Amino acid sequence: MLSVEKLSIQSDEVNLLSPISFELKPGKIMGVIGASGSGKSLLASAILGDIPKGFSRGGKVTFSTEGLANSDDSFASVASVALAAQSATVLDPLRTVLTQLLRRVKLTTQRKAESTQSALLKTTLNTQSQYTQLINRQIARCYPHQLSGGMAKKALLAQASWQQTDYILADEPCCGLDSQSAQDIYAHLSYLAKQETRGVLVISHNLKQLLSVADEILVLQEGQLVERTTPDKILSGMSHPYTQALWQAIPANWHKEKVKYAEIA
Amino acid sequence: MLKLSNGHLAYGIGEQTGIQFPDIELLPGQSLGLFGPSGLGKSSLAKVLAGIEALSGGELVLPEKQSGLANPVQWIFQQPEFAFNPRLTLRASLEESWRGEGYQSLLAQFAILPSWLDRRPSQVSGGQLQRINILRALTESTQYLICDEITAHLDMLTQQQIWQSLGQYTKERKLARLVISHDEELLGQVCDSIIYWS
Repeated sequence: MLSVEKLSIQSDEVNLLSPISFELKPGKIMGVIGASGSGKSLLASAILGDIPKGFSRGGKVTFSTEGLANSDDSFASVASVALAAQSATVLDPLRTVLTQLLRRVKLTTQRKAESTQSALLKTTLNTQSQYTQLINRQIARCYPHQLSGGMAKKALLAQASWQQTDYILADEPCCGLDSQSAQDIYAHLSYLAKQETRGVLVISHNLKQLLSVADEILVLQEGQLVERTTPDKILSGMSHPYTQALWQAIPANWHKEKVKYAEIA
Repeated sequence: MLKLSNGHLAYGIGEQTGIQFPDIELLPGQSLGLFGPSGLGKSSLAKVLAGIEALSGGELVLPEKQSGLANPVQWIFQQPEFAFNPRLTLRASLEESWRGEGYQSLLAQFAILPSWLDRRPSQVSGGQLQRINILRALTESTQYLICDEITAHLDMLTQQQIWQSLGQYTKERKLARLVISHDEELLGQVCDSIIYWS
């Protein structure tokens, strides 16, 4: 289990992220929603121990594995958490997607021999699996500039999920994608959680997409946790006014009144 | 009137490749949606309509461009950071396309604070910059707006605010819009009719 306890980021003048606590269990998908600037990406960076210059962090992040003693890493060790970044600019422009995958696997795998991992990766690309639905050989052969927006997002998620970490943080994995690509990506995230029993944290500004996959949702507003809720609660109207406003901002709901309690029955 | 019939754009060398565009007819005051998956050429279509890319086949009728004034067909796209000169203040960029300060009276309607205008594009947020980008496209000579995924990168609260401001304003001025998006629900909210391109 990944436990976040009173995690915060602040300087003497400003509070970027107010103390926030939650746990992410293997096999579960936790969504994080909020407007731009609400601290969603900061939360992911803070879990990884990466803090903006001039700021300090408070609280702690711990990992515990079933049957093993708690490992108090203080902050996420590379072996436990992988980040699927928001922007494709983190891809190396001079290497193909496949080369980058192999390199990433090499850099992060200590437990298994790298050659086994590389062989595994190549085999995976040649067989039909959830992984080849995410990224096929055609994408793997491309350089980043040859990828469309959707392909790039898939390559980013592939990099993160190939690392065999217990937890995945996906920062806006579907931002700007058409609905088919978004569905492919959410299907993969579900697979990582439900089939591979990893803990998945998905950051998004699209509440509608989160409602369909998340087990729980954290709602952030200006660096503060507004509430920790579930899709069912949101859909039945039992939520904070800010969460309601986010629900009403989904285009299909623009002219709708807020969800009424009566609709549940 | 803005009208495209049987439009075709060829690319590549020596190959029979290219994009066949759907027919489009846009009348003043109308809001037309264009829906389709990634990779069809929606943004190429926007470039053709904005007069940036020339058609290789078909017929295109565009409103007349008056010398010294901004293009009556304005293309607004997804990433406003590519639409501004990074060295100019936002005020300078606005005045460049408005040929003056005519935009001032619209700042409040588009929820833009006057203090942002003395900054450069990199010093405001994506949502703030997109609002200024939209305002920049609404010059007095503008008649047609090509809204190419203009809110796809923004959070939904900002998206809603932007479409409310833009909807009200285009109605007042009877501007025509072509709204390109892969969010069908959004198109349902902001368009009179939708072209499904596949």
